[in-house]
Amino acid sequence: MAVIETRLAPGTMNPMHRLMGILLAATLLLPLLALASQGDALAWPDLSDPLTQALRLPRIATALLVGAALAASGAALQALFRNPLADPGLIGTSGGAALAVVAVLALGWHALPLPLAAFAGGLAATWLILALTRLVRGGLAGLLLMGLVVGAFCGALISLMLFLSDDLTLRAASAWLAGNLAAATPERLGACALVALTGIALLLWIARDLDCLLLGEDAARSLGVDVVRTRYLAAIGAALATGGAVALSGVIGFVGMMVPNLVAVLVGGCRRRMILLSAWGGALFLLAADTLARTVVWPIDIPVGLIAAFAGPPFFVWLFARQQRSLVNG
Amino acid sequence: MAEMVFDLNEISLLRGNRTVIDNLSLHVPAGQVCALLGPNGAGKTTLLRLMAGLAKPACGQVVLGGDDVYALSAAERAKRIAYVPQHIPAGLPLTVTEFVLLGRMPHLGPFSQPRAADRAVLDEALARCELEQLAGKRLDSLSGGERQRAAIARALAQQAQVLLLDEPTNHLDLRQQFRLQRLLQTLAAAGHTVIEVLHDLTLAANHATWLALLDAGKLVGYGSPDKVLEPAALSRVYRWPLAVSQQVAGWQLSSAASTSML
Repeated sequence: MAVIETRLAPGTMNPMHRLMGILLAATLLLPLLALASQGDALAWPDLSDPLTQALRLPRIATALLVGAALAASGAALQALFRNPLADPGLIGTSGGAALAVVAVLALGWHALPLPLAAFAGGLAATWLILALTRLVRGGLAGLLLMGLVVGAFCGALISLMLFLSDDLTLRAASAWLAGNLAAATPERLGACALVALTGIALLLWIARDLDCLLLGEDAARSLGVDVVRTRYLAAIGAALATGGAVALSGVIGFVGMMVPNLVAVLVGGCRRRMILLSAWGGALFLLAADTLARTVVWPIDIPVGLIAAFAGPPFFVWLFARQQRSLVNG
Repeated sequence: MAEMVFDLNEISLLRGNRTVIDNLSLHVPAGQVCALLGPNGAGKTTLLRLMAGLAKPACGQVVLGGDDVYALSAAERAKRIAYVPQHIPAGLPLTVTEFVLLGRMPHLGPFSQPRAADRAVLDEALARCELEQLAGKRLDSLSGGERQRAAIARALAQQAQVLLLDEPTNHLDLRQQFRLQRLLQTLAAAGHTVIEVLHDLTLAANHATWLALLDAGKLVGYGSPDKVLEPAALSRVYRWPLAVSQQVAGWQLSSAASTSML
């Protein structure tokens, strides 16, 4: 919205310029590193290699898309829930999307495209959270708690469905649920990209209203914001972005919480910038995590969701402690 | 006769079984600094929210310059009424500039960038609240008083005819309290109508030109300070003996309780 006007001591680098420099450098280096990492060795990538074209490039594109969608969704959900701990994987948006995808797989409804099912599931879960919070008059804390409850309930339904499934479905669904980028095909990538990017665009469109929502409901309404409409649009945008990501890669937690919070700590700013920078950072984070997942215990390909899940909890604890400190200090 | 900005006609508001505003009628004159007074739970904040169009009465009408407040679109209302709530959430990642620029929201489209005119309004709002030096600072690094000034600057950036402030002197030191009241008087002289909820009766008596005294959702008195600041009425409303004196330096309100009552 506005240019940050910071007064810096001579010789001090503007935090925004520093972050942009890091992101630009990572944008140049990480895809190259991902292409060059072949098994336990590094080799200059050959783009004409059919293996690279069929497997490596779609996987890189998938990592970038999923990371961007999850982080953008997290940045918007944190404004919607007015809580920096909100994450599509934690509050049930991903859980709802995953439940819908598992239902499609388990029930054999192959006519229904997975990205659409994931979007519908994510949207249903987010709306259910908003409706339950209104029903129990839980306020902001209630919003997050209802999110956790809906996420846990989706998890229970997924477990039940897997328990009742045949072995083949169980294996396919379990591998997908752990958060894996290996199964992406260019066709599925295209459909999911359309859904996820539509979601990110919607979130960017309402970003200024989300800024106002962060000030509190009364302040937002006094600035002319239609709070109910903004909440619904944010839920739809986050569900589209998360649904597109989940349909591609399964449930990958913590990316949507970690990346926007890092951006907030490093540079902050209005929600539009937060969403854009989070999407950029999230894309690179997941590409780095996936490169690590492919190579760290080669030849085993660890699900990238596990890497994020290992990094997430310590980050969550640090963030929670930081938030408590800021509450104490006013 | 003075032009009435707000006409509140027989409004009532219930919260559960409790009557928060009880058949209240009030006519707020334009171009004045008006203070809403009353003890805790008297309904001051609720009344301010009703005027801002943020709550709807169970019955009655709130009319702003001839228009029903609730019939106005949210954007139209935001251009005419600026509202500063009691609390500003902590931990906002915005800079002061970005925060104050949110006051231009009603004047901007979803993707339109602030223009030179918006920048000029921003600069003026920052200057009026002595925030120029803090413009690039993050809101979460400011003190409570600085955040409060930023919230007032955001309301000024809205360029609304009516300014509604809920306990705006909270967190402000003495100098900033007086500066704010002087600023509000300047705005009123320029034709704005300022309505603020205040707990400090002396501050209200010396800086507001029009007072409204509430008790249990009812209007007990309204008008100029010498009309409203009746010791007997005030003591009854606040359930505490109060003494009122008007000296050369201004109004002075103090406790009239003997030490045995304390």
